[in-house]
Amino acid sequence: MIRGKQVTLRGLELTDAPEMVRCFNDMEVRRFLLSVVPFSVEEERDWIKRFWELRRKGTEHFFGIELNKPKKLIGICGLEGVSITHRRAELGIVIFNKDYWGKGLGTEAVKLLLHYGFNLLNLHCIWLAVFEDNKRAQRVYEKVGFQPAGRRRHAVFRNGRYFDMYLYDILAEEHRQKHG
Amino acid sequence: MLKGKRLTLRGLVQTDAEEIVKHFNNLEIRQFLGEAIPISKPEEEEWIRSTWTMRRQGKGHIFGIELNSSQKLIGTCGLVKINQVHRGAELGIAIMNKQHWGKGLGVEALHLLLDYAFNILNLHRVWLVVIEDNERAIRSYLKVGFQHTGRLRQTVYKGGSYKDSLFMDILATEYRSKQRQ
Repeated sequence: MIRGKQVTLRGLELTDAPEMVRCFNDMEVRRFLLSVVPFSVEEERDWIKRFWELRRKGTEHFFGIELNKPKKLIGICGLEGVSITHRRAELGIVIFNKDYWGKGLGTEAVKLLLHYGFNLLNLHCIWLAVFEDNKRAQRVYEKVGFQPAGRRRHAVFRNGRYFDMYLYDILAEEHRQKHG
Repeated sequence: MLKGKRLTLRGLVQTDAEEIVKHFNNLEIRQFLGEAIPISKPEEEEWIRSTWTMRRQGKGHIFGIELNSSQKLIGTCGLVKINQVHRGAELGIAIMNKQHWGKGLGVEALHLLLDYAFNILNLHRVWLVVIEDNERAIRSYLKVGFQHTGRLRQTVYKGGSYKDSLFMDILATEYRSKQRQ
């Protein structure tokens, strides 16, 4: 477990599935996710099991974001596409419980995840892609030290039109300078 | 089969594995594939079979690049990670036989593949990732209409140091207006 002041990153349990499905099936939450299709608790359990397997293979490290007080799962985050040779990974995060938006909890979770990626997994570069209109997330990424790296034009279709995804990256040395 | 003037894109067959393995195990060619590890023939045969499954599922279309004059396989190319909602695909190409580098054959294969992507598969966008020092490939991509839109720093380890990956993409609308010119 990776413990911060307000949140802790912990492994996902099968018992987390109902809460995840309840929150994820809200279209406002799904707005900034790549998949548009609502899913079931049973599917979510399979998805959690799949992430255990991928972590054992070393290609993905996914965590639940749990509020320290009260203990409550409010989102998930992780590193995917981890490459041993290139020592890079893609970061993904969602605070799926809307009651906890705008409290800086995502920022703390991203900081914990960067600490995990650089100081525990020994990665060299962490990158991400974010919806062009997800300004709240972009502010978080810039605050913790990500640099804008360009865009992928018309990469996603949502509500009748195409949107660009913005790219960001951060190197281990930049992370060390900023966060020690 | 997608037929061009000098070359044809065709489905891969298991007997192609031998020729592919011979060239792809040459590090000079592999260096741009983002993978430095040598492969075996049975592995390559398995990969060829997986391209058939991928095509049936509509997730990817991989072709062999064959010379019209000699019917010789000189490379592979294709569209992968096809997403039915976002209608995008990632393009990949390798002219694995070095004797055929520098003759514009890659550009011809790219034209055939983009025609397939936009006029047959009805995709909205084709994108790719290329290592910053693969200048020959970058020139070819720009020539057929790709735009350079992003750069992830130090994301590929190659020959003892980290290199940037460049992101490039082309939209169906751009492809069509280029065709009309």
